[in-house]
Amino acid sequence: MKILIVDDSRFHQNFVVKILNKYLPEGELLLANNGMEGFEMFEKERPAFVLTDLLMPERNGQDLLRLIKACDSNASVIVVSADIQKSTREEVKQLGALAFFNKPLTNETASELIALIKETSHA
Amino acid sequence: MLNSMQKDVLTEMINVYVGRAAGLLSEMVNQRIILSVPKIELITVSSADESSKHFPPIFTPGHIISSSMRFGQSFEGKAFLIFPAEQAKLLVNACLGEDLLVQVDKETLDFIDTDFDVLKEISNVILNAVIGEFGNFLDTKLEYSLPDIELIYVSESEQKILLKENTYILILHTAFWLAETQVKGVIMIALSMNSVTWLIEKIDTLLED
Repeated sequence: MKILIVDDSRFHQNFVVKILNKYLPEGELLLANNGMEGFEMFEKERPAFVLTDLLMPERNGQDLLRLIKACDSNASVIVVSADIQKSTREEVKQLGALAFFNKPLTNETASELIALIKETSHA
Repeated sequence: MLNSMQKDVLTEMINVYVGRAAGLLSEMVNQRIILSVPKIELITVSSADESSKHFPPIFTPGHIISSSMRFGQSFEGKAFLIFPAEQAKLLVNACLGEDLLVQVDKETLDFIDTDFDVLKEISNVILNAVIGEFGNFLDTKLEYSLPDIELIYVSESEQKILLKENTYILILHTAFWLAETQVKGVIMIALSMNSVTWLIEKIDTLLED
């Protein structure tokens, strides 16, 4: 199962990689540093899940989400962002995000993220 | 411009917002965070030009790491997260789970991309947590700029330089300490006149209820 992680922070990329490697060892992880790279990689690799930040250079997470959904309306995109605004949460929900998690992921939210990926991939 | 009740409400709001932000930082570094009572200073553009005494003393003169984010559109301003440079190194080490006891040489501060990346992510989380709550409170959507981060030398007389380029008038600042590493940070939020007016009007409706 391919999982694409899109984040301009290498620190956060590494953090998510550690979690996924530990709890989803079967996952093949792909990394992109901004929305533009993320979309190029999505088109090329067609991952089962995309985990994306929102505030990024080149193209932000909202743009990436729009592009991915236009390309494949069934794509599973999960937003992991520091933005705590209710309006942002509603915006990405309307754009078709599967879920929204706030940074930093805690033990609890990381468990929810893993459970969501497992449930969705088995659905 | 701010009466005591308005100031009290605003101080409490900042206290709660920064408290939540500190909780997030605590998760990142796995340490207890101690907060100071927030201070709110309302300054006129002219007084800001006259003297730097109204600006919060950031630290003793020296190198600092300043990370900032602009936000807008309707509610606009700029938020800063500031650490003394040598302490920022300790914070990075805490986040990366590295040796916390390492002594950082003030004379040979050497920040690499990884350090800036970690500090940028910390400021992204902290400043979003505080500013985003203002957006929620005012029921408006804020757009953020990408965080800017820089290592700068600030002399005593230059401390106001961080805010000089804009005519902001409400300064909210607070400090926090990481219990184990004694790292001290300061959060400052500068708001435009229109944004301050909007905030005060919203606080007034809250007080009327």
